[in-house]
Amino acid sequence: MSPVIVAEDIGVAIAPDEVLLPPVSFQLETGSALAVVGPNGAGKTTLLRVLAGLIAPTSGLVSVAGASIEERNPVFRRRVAALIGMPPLARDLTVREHLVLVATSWGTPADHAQEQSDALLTSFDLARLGRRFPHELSSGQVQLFSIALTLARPFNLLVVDEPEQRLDRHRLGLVTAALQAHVRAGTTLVFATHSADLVEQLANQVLEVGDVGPAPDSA
Amino acid sequence: MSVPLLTPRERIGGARRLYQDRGGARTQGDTAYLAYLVVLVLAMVVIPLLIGTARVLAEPEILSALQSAGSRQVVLAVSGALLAAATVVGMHRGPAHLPPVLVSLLAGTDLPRSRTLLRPFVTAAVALTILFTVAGGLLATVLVLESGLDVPGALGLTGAAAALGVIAAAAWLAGQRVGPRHGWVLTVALLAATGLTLLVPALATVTPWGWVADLWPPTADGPPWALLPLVLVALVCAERVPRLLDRVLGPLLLRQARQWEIVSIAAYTGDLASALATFRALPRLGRRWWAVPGSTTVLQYAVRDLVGAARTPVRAVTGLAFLILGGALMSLAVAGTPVSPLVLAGLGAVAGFLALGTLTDGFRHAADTRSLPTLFGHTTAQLFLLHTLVPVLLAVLCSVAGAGLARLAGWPAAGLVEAALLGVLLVAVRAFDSTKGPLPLTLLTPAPSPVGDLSGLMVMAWQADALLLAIALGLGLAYVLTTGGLLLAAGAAVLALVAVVGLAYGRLNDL
Repeated sequence: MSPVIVAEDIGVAIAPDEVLLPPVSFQLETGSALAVVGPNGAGKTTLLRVLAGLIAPTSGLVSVAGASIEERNPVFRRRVAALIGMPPLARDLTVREHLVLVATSWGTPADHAQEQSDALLTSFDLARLGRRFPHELSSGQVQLFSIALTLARPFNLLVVDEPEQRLDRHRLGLVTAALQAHVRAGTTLVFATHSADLVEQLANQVLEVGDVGPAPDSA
Repeated sequence: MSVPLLTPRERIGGARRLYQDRGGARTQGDTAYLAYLVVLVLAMVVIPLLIGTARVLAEPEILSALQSAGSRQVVLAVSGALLAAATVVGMHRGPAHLPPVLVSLLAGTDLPRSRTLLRPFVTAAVALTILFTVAGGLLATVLVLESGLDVPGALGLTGAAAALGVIAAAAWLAGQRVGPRHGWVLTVALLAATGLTLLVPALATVTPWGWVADLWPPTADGPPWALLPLVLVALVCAERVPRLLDRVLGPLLLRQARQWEIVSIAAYTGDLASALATFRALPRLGRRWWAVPGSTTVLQYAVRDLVGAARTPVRAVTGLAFLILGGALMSLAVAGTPVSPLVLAGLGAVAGFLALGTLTDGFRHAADTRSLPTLFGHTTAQLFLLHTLVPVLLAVLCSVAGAGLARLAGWPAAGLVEAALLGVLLVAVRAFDSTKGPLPLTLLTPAPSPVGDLSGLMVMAWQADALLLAIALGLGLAYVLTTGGLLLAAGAAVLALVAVVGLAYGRLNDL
């Protein structure tokens, strides 16, 4: 099986002595889950931004599904979903409407989009919040909603930055289960994390970036 | 050993000194620069504006309008509307305003708010009263010099303006007391009462706006007796201030303080869009209305925009009302009124531009997607297009409705098509405004000129670029219409539309 992601010495620098991401290399097969670990400022989010096509590496080569990363390419956009920071939320749409709008924008029929949205809300324990507006959610609920919103669109490669943020143990379990289900279904997952539990439960590859200290216990 | 407690006066003084001595406090150099900026703006903007306004007021057509029989009704309506506007401002930035730290140190303690908030209130109220007095005095001076108004009449008008200023300060505080959630009731009540006074003239004898109208020199009849109840009401309002201050809610004070701190930071960083976002009403209604129907994409986004706007109904209705007003003003610009076409078109463009801000949340949401990972199956440019239909339709409908109202009011030459053209152009300007990126650092470099460093003014111009563009388009359209006719104006509007869309697209790619 050919790898989905091939990265060879990719790095990002904003000046000769200002390195955001020291060179890293890795390969990732379809249906694999890569945990990117390292201390704050090591370059984890920068690596995810490169994979999502938000910034270009200043050194090295990287490809997704055999093609270079190009955010303007519709095929790339359909293939790669990413959650890095807050997604764009509309203040005048409810939680459920957001999910349906995202799904239908990718061509999902309306009735199926509604069913999928309800399933996502249920799986994240958000069903009772479906009619709330984004500003009426707690910070943890916003994090869950953001992950659900990202999963509402189609993708083959999922890139997520610190999915554990602001979540209690129960809700982190819900997120872990949802991501595990996607990986089992063939999705390739790359996630940055500080959670040793998440690494242990999700990852079959671990990439340490930056000037790392002791890595969390991992598989 | 017991420690003697500080008196309230000492506590308030101590907290203020603590704030003034803080690390990030304004230095002497900052104060000097601020004073320099104030002098620069006074000399280059305010004084020329006052002189220019006086000259415009002294134009024969304007003077004749000021002295016409109908001017009394206009004065009445404007006076009532100013009080209503004061309540709206109070909901978002009240006169009892303190920085967040002082809200905690002063208003958050056991000291009565009538003491801790008195100083900021008095400062703001005095400033507002001066503003009203200057405006009234300017009108009075023009009437004395150009139409032979006697001095008692001029003093009566100036006094009425000052008294109205005091009442407006109380209305401003009342708006702050009630807050944005329920304050609209106060505003609507004042507007309704003013409208009722216009319909039932007898009510003018018992309302402040009616007394101001009674004191309007060109139509005033006999001695200025109406000044007496007006001053009396102003005194009653002043007497009620401490009670109102005591009832101002702490969370509202803190929210306003935080919002305006963001605005003041934005003034330096150039991120005015984020600052304005904190003032937009958040939806609380209509969560059961379904905003994303399973239909064609265009229709889905149209419904989504309509339902989204309807979820903040006061904001939406205000926007529609201003769109109608903008359309009426633009249509009058070509109707041969006594007022300069350019003034009417400029005001119409400002009203329309501000109004469309309430109907173009979709543009701002689309712009947000530009620098984030792809979430929607449409590109950012496609999202902009999908969010265009509703603002364009409403802009055209409301502008034409405004123009129609102008015709009904007796200006048969009022331009329906002209108003619609400006409405469409303003939607494009709103799209352009949504694509604004961060403040270019080059604007912060000194720009020496014979009158001093103009970099501050350049930053202000950059902040207001969309508003200035809207005004320029309004003025340009009025000029081409009055000199070249409708066909030429339509051609110019199409060219302007292409140019604005091009500018917006260019900025979008730079985000």
